[in-house]
Amino acid sequence: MTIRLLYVDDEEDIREVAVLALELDPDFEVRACSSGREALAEAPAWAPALILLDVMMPLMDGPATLVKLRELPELASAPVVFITARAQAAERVRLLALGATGVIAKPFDPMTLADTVRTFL
Amino acid sequence: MDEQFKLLRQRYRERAGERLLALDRALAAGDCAAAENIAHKLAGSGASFGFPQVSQLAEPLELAANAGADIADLRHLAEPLLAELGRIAQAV
Repeated sequence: MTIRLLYVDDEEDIREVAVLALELDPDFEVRACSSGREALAEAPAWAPALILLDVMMPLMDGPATLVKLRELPELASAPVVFITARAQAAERVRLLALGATGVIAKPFDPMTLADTVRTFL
Repeated sequence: MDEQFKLLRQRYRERAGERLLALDRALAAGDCAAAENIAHKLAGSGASFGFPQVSQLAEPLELAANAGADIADLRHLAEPLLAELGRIAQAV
């Protein structure tokens, strides 16, 4: 069973290691985007089962991208998990209040990222 | 995974010198926002590539910059991070 994921992060290094780490799970098929705008263009056709969104991105940050994703009928209820280097308790509460399913702290462990994402599906 | 991860780790190592220079330039220019942004990226990435000290040293710099610390304090906080990046870059 293939589970499509969308990973959105402006940092090339992190996108590459995240895709590699997520595809350790043989069921995961991952598409990566480098910006919120690119994610909004790609997501409807890709129809991901879950979207991983970096919080701090230029032009359109993760929370702003989430708002726009929710306006797309195909993605109105897709689970969104934020990835952030600022994962302190207050920030987690703020991000979850925006409608996120979960928050994953950066730096993540590439060996356990796929298992962590599984818990949000 | 092992071979691919080694390649990504090597590429990260190769970019350490660029990041060192970018952070050093931001601090020399008194650009706290740029220093915060670079520190944020380093804090969120280093350990994922097997360089946990980069993340550990970058986090307090990012937090201090975000809290409005003055540039002299940021330069002081950045010293061990710059040294670590230099060490990683030299090992290429």
